[in-house]
Amino acid sequence: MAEGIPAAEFVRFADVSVVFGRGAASVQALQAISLSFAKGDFVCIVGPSGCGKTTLMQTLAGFLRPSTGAVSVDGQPIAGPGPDRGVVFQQPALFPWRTVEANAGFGPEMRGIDPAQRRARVETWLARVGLTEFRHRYPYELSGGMQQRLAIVRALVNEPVLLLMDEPFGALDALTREKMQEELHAVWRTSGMTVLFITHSVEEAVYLGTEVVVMSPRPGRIIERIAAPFARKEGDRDIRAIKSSPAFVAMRERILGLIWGMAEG
Amino acid sequence: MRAERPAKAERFWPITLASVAILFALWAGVSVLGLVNPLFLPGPGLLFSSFIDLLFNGYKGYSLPAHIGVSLMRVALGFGSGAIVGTLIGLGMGAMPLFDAFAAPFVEFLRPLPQLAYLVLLIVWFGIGETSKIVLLFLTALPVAAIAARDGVRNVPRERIQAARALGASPGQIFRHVIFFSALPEIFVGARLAIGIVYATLIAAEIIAGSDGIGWLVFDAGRFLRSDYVFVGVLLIGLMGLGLDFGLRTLERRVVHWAGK
Ligand SMILES: Nc1ncnc2c1ncn2[C@@H]1O[C@H](COP(=O)(O)OP(=O)(O)OP(=O)(O)O)[C@@H](O)[C@H]1O
Ligand SMILES: [Mg+2]
Repeated sequence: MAEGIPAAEFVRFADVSVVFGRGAASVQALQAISLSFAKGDFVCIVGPSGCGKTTLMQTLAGFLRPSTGAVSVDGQPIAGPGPDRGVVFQQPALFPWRTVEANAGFGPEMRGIDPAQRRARVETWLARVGLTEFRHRYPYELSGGMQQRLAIVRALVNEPVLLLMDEPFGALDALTREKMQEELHAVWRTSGMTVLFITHSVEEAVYLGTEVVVMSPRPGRIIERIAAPFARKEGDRDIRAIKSSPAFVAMRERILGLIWGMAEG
Repeated sequence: MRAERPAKAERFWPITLASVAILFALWAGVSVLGLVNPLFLPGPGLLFSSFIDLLFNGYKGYSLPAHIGVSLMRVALGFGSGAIVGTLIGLGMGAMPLFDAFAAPFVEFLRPLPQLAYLVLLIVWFGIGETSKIVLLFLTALPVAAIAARDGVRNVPRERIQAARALGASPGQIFRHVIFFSALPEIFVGARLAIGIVYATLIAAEIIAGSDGIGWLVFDAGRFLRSDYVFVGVLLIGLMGLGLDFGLRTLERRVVHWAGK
């Protein structure tokens, strides 16, 4: 941790606004977002469609410069994309001409990391998500769930300090989705990585997040931040038991109520 | 997993075979019964003996393989150089808006221009020999390949590039490892389009200027009313065209195996 940076400001959005276009046709996507969180947090962002969740993530990824305000990680202002911040999209965005193995190793390969070390990392991660036997296949030979696993592995092989995920499980069926939630949770628990996770599923957010951030319709603002206890819960990690516990249901309904309230109001 | 259902054309091959067989039978019937003057429609027997005759005795100083070979050589040189240079130009156009602004007027002007319109100019500049024909084919393939490559670069999914950037790839690496491969399927589509146009142009060019090549053979034989030679030549031209397309298609399937999946 850089000196003088408070632990709770590992990631910091300071008064971030984003306006697309100019003049009459301009769209204010984000309005004065201030949000900080600590290393190791799992922050889930929920909010109505078009409220600026993707836009917010893009400023942290470095794909988009805020119109005003600043974004920093560990005190360093974001100047562009970098391998310290892994990104996973809703669509896997794999490289279809590369085998599973070569997709997974893309980051280290581009960065000139020693091939032996690269191979070891790729092997470890592929084994961890059950893709080892497919390592010589191509992405189009994998199911949607396997493709998304590969996209996540491709980001993780780079060993980022931050993982940014934009509705990564949005295109998956319910069962696969829940399996992936469990796997992602296990990876986060053991790695201590910091995650920013966008989702339309409040249930997913409450299950995975240490914090759930609720955004308003456009222009996106932060309405409420809710600390969620379930991600760090020790002991029995049975996903169905957690999701059906009264405390979980209560929190889920409360957040859904917030979002519904906005939609009506 | 991949669906392994064969394409329609493959499943219905008996119908394809039957349609060819029916046409062949009609043709043989008409000529055996003597319904048509062989000058207009030589029968299968005459055609075959003319083919053998051409094969062993050649036509006007060159053997049949030499006529075919010189035509294929022109296609290979003209198409090859035009497709390669055009693809490079198109990749540059897609990647660099400044270069696009610079090159677009020439490429866009050249593409719809009928090749035979400027063949005359090329003959004036390069003479009636090989050079003018190969330059013609080069100029035919170039804009088609350039525009395909440019569009291929422009159509790279944004998230694919963002993913590569976030993984730490430099702009040069993104171009070589992501943009180029993403554009490759469209480059191949452009190449197949180009080879069709090049082939048609070649035959026309050989007719206008030349003394060898399979296109010239057909034209010259026609002038002397050797319709048997004309028919043999046309059949060969058609088969060669099928062969070129098949070759390119096979190459395409092997190289860009991921396309359309
Ligand atoms: N490049 C752009 N140019 C103009 N407007 C844009 C651009 N990108 C996003 N917007 C607008 O900004 C707003 C926020 O978009 P954004 O994609 O961040 O929303 P989102 O919360 O991720 O929505 P969803 O949940 O549907 O993914 C939308 O109204 C969108 O139309
Ligand atoms: Mg979005």
